[in-house]
Amino acid sequence: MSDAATVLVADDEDNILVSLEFLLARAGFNVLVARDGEAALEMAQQHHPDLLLLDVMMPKLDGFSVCQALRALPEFAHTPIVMLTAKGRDADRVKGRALGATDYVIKPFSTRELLTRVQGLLDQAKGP
Amino acid sequence: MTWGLSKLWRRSALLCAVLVLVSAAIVIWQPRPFTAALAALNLFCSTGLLWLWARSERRPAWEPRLAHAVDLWCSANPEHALDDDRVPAGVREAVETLVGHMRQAGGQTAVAVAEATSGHEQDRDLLRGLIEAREGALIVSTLDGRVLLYNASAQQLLQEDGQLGLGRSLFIVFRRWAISHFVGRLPSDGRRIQGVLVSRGGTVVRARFSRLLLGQREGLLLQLDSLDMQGQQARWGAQWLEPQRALLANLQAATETLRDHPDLPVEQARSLLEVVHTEAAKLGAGLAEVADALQGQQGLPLDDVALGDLLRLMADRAKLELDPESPAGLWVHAESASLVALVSLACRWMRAHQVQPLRVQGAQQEGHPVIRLHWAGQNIDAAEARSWQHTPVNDDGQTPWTPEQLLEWQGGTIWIDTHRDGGVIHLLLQPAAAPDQNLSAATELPARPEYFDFGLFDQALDREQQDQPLERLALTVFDTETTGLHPGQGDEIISIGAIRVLNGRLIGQELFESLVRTARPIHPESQKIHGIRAEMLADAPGQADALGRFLQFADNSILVGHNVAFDMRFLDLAGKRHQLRIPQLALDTLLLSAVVYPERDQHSLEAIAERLGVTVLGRHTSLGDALVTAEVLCRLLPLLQQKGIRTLGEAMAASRESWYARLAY
Repeated sequence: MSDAATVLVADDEDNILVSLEFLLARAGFNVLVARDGEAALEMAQQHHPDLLLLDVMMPKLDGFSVCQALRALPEFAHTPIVMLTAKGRDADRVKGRALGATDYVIKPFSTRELLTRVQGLLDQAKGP
Repeated sequence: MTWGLSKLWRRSALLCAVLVLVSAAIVIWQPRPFTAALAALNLFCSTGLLWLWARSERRPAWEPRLAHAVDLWCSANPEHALDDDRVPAGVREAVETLVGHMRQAGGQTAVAVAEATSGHEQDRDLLRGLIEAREGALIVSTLDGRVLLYNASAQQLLQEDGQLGLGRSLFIVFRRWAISHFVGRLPSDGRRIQGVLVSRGGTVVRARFSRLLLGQREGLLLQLDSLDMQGQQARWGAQWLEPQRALLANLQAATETLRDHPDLPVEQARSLLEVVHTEAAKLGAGLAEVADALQGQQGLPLDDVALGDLLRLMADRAKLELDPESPAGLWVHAESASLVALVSLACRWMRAHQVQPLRVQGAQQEGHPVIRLHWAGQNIDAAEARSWQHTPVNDDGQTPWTPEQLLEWQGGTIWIDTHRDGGVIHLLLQPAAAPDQNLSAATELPARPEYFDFGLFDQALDREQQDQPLERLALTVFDTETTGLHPGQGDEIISIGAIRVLNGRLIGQELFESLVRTARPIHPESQKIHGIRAEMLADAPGQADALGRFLQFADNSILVGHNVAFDMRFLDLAGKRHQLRIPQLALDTLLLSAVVYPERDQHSLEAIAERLGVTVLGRHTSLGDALVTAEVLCRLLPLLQQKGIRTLGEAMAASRESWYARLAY
């Protein structure tokens, strides 16, 4: 594996994965893709990605629960987790943050903006 | 004639007949003339007596006719004509006069009864008319749930339950705790509150509660609408779907053209891509608009509720400890009954898994009020917690929705943290729109210091006042809210509320409430208690005007207050400033409570109210406090009597003593 950061994208929408996978790879990241919550949890524990993009409404296990489960593991205490979600209410945003999400991005979003955020969070995590 | 006398007559007649026969025999067989003469005399007398008896026993022929006529006059037909000329003129005249008087008296009684009942009947007819005319379902009941009136819509709405009936209890249809929950929250100022009720038959309704004055008594007006959340959501769906479909059509046409024609000239491909981009942006903007609209259209009927009150209701119902750390003054915009029910069900779920519900706690998170329910025990893991969140809670009269839906439909959300030794359920709620406009929650705030004024006892009562029995006094129970706690340093009254008490009963219609304008700034600590801000007083009447009207309201009565010296001091100073005559005599429920319960040292209004079983509603509004004080007073009066304190003079004397006792304490 190269020095490039690894990003895990979990979403059950193939149509957004097409773009996200391509754009993240083009931006120089290693990209892992999961299509439901349980797969995301498993892959995360197996590959220890540097950042996760989690959709909320996924089959088997929702993104909130994946985030909550990962935060309970010490090795994921500081990994940036970005929730990507169509749940746009303020209450959900507070819930996401309460469960440990680093950032909460409401769909629809601009892909350019998302990439900027991902890069920023990775820089922050690496530290000065 | 009595039975005894006629029997005597009959026996005498029999005796006479025997004497006649014996005398006749002696006259016939007795040769001696003297004896015969005696017997003859006896025969004559006895025959005479016998004749008299026969005459007395005979009833006049007209007597049954007269009796029947009197019967008719008295009952069925007052106009009946007695056409029997055998009735002696004197008797007829006497009877006719008597019946005439009786008829007149009867007529007057009927008029009086009709007058007395017609007001009541009219009120009831009016109410019935209003209720029948309204399309929605309406039920009127007493505050303790006895159904007085309902309309056809109510019956139709609750037909699954089938037991709505006049005079029956509302609790046959709805669960008692749920009705009590809302009645307990009803503000005394007539404002309406709303929430969700689930009937025993499972009908889910939006319920609006308000107080209703029924003559002297307070009643409950219940307005019900069916609540079809799924249907409501679907209607919204239809409303926003249509415009978005048109945008999607544009998108689809453009993308399909691109996909199916790889040979498209670059210029054309570019303009199609531009279409895709702009239509997607429009779709996004449209959705944001719909989301905003939906936000304001939360389907569940929501109300502003003090978080402190809600937590207390939850703790009471689920028998939980209430965390003392919960922040004061927070208000939520929520459906309170379903949340209380949810917490109670959550506790049942915990116990079913052998974990111990611990306490309920209020907090604030990123501007949102949160209720946290803590448990201890290891038997609930994350998966079990998740599955509970998605299971409908439809037993015990709760809504048929999942906890997650229940929270979402009131603009909130739920999540559950589990850790090794326990866990927490978080209920995140919407804050009330403008919390500072609400009066703060009652219990978390410090009470006023006890305040005494020796002068109140120095007033000489005249003889007549001395001996007035307490239960017959006209009383005005009042309370004030002020800019601060220091009348001597210029603090002033900003709100005054009062109610009249007569013969030991609250006179529900005789209420007084007024804000009072002041130039004095309101101390923040005081504002926290009563919630009155300076701008709310801008249009209020000035001190002289408002207090003058209050004195007029209280005219010819004795003032009563709780810790009344505090309020009297403010009144007195205002009276001096504005040349108002302030009565110098007042009864204090704090001191009267100390008379009745000398062994207790807690005589705050809350403590007494709880001891005497008075429901505390609307604390820290002047009228709300006056009402609680008045109810407390009405319950103290009979207890004072038991202590031998019957007159105003005795009550003042006992108050003075308990005041000294409290000073010593």
